[in-house]
Amino acid sequence: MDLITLAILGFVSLLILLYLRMPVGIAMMLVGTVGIYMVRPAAALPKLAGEIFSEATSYPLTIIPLFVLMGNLAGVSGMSREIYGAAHAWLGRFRGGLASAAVVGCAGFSALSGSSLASAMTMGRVSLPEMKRFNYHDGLATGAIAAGGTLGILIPPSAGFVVYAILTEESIGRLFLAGVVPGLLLTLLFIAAIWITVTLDRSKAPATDDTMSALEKWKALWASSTIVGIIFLTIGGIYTGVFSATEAAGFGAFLAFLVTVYRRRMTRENIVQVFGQTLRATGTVYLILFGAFVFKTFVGFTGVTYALSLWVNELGLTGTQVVIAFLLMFIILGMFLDGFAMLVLTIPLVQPILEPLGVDMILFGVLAVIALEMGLISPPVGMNVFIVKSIAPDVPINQIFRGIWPFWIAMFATLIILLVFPSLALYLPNSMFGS
Amino acid sequence: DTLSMAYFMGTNHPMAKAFLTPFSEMVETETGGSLKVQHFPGGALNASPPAQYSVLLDGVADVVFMLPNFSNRLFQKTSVIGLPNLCETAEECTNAVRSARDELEAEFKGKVLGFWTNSPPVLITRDKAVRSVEDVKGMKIRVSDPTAIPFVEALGASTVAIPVTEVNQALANGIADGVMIDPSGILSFKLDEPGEFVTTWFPGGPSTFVVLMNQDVYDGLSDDERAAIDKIADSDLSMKAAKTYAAIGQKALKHATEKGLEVITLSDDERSKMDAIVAEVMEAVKANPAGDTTIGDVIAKLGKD
Amino acid sequence: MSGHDTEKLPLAGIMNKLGAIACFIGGLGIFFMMVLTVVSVFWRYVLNDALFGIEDLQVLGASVVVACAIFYGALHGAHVTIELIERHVSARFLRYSDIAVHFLSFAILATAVRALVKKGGCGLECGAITSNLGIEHTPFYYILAVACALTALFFALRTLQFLLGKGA
Ligand code: NA
Ligand code: NA
Repeated sequence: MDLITLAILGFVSLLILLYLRMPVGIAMMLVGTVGIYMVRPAAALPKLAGEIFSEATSYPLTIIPLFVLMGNLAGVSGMSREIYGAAHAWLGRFRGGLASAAVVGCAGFSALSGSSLASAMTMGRVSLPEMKRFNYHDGLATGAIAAGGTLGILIPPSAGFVVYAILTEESIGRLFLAGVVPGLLLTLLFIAAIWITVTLDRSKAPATDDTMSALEKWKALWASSTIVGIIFLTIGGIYTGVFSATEAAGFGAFLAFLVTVYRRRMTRENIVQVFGQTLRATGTVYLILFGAFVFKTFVGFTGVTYALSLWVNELGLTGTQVVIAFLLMFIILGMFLDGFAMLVLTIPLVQPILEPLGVDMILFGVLAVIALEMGLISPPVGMNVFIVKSIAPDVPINQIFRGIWPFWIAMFATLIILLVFPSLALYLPNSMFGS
Repeated sequence: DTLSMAYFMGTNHPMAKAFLTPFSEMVETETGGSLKVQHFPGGALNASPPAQYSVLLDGVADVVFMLPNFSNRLFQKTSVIGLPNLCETAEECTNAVRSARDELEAEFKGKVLGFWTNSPPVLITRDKAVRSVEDVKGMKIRVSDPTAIPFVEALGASTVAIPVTEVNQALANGIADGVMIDPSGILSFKLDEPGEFVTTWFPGGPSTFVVLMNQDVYDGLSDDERAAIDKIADSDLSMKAAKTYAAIGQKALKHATEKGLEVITLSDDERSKMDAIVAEVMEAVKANPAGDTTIGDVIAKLGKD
Repeated sequence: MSGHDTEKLPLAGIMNKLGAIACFIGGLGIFFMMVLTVVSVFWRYVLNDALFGIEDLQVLGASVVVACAIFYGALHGAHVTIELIERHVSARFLRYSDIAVHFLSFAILATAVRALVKKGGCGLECGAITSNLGIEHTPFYYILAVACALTALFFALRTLQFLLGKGA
């Protein structure tokens, strides 16, 4: 069998196994190992073991358990509630303000958490009951949280960027900094989307009785200063070069740990919850990476990426055209595939095509992560929507998906803005690391 | 037959151009086309530099490009050339290791096809120029190889291990005050950007590079093919790779000067002060074991006693 | 990703105990990694000295954490699957496909155990040591092998569970 056919066969069997609900990482491990065996029998087992060990002992990847821990500690210590509290105090009185507060709360929590699901879950729990109390439209309320949660992987730290960085051998620190401005931009566009939605249909966000005094507002803001302080120390530490991204995660986790202990929230129950959740999230990412690297080696053996890049060359497309084509592919694939699965499946194929065309892989990482976020909230498979559904069981899933569209469009707009003004993403990392 | 050759650098890397590509062409011409070499560049088979030896032993690739320095504990004799003051240039250092080839190559489980070194390291600093022993005191120095640690510490600095891909950032951030690296590293890692000073001598030796063929694969070749491979392994191809490093090193220092860095050659006085400290440590180190012999004995075999 | 219950799993009691042990060891490992980071930053800025080889300890700690995380994650349904199929096929088909997929998962993980034990068995000789401190990789290969073995066992038990027709 020629190698290109083998590669195609590999992809097809992988998609079938994924459709049959085989865990993503295990499916890639299986197809990758069998595929390597077909090309070079002696390499199959050593490669399987070697990649498991290499990823398990990869220094850049140690950032994952550390920042997941930081996010979980922020949850149990009550810091996540405080950031929502501050957003609520200042935005709550505007029409649609509770939804905007949920989005801002998500953005703030995202600066401590690397996962979209954790952001949606944590902020959903505090903000949904509030929006219910003031008779917000279910679609708007749940949509804001599902979409706001996706900021978790755009605003650093981000598991999405780490996985992308590992696959492309780009700098994690650079990617993190590249996500900051687009993350803030998307937050603003989410708020704009809410504003437009409630302006078009005022019944979706009834006015709230604003009884908070100025003093109370400042108090709420002050209460959030702990979490804001930690965010500044960690992201500022990366930016000023005081420490690497990995060290920032460890240091941030330690600060969050101190706060948790100081507030006497380090109960036995919380310890089990925090470390259990951290381990589960760590397991999720690593298993996928094990599979991704075994599969990547198989793809490397077949030489299919070389064939693809020759083909793209022949078509004579420019870098931007290819980037747009890939982003559209991501948006479509993201409807059905899990975001990480999509990333690890496509990046090994996409990178060898993009690099020779002179595409900035940091910029592409940011664009890819936004496309991945769109997948998290788009039907039929939207992980964040399912998470929100689990917090709001009485809201029909289709209603949540309908509430999503304004936010989905905001993300699409962000993609276009970044394609036109790439420096929005690249200014921070280039000013720190040099271009 | 086709040999698969794995390396973690791209096809444009100087060592790919100086050794790996000419090597594969030589294999084809010398065997009259009965053997071909397929390249797997860019870490397609394994991107981790320290893992290249196991890539070969596992049979993942037939030929690998590897840096024994990642496993000094295993290649104890080969690592000896990493000690300071044994040689001055990439050519001289390569001659030294090649003169002890039989002894050193026996450490590798495979057929050694290429064996050369780069140049001894320079020191790049940012905030403080190093012109004397006093300047070194209290600095945090990134060493490229644990072999150099006792010497750098004897000069009064502390050492830190940083992956080479992160040295630029580490120097910019002050995680390291100085980076010890072979001069070609100035170009590869753009150290002229964070760096302000280059001191052209610092106590360390070069890194070695080995191109290794899987022993079973070698044994399975026909007599003619083996003879062709032996011929290439004994050719001056390794020395050409060393010369490439020497040339890049010169170019790098020139580039640094052009970029406004001060390139410092230690005064004879200061150099002899440092040499005296190095020599003292060296006496102690010589007694240490290196495989079935001592470091001192290996130094003698390198012709550098 | 939702937390599957392990109630109907054969040997549920034992598996949950093993999961608790993994959680305990993994939790300690994460804590160790956190402290190690803080110590190295402290050393650098406060003591103005650099700790040599801290990365080696960090990554070996990570391998223990990852081993625990893989198994613990499997027990708690953390391993991502793509849920599209249930709206397209019958429950009967789903049962057979679940049996097949869980068995295949068991098979590849068991293969991974074999591969890890074999490759890990060659330590120093194969250059399988950390770059700075020269610590042998072998025990850490074995820890990952144990984790894969427990995860394989989990999938074997799931296969059994579906064969017995007990559903998820
Ligand atoms: Na985040
Ligand atoms: Na989707």
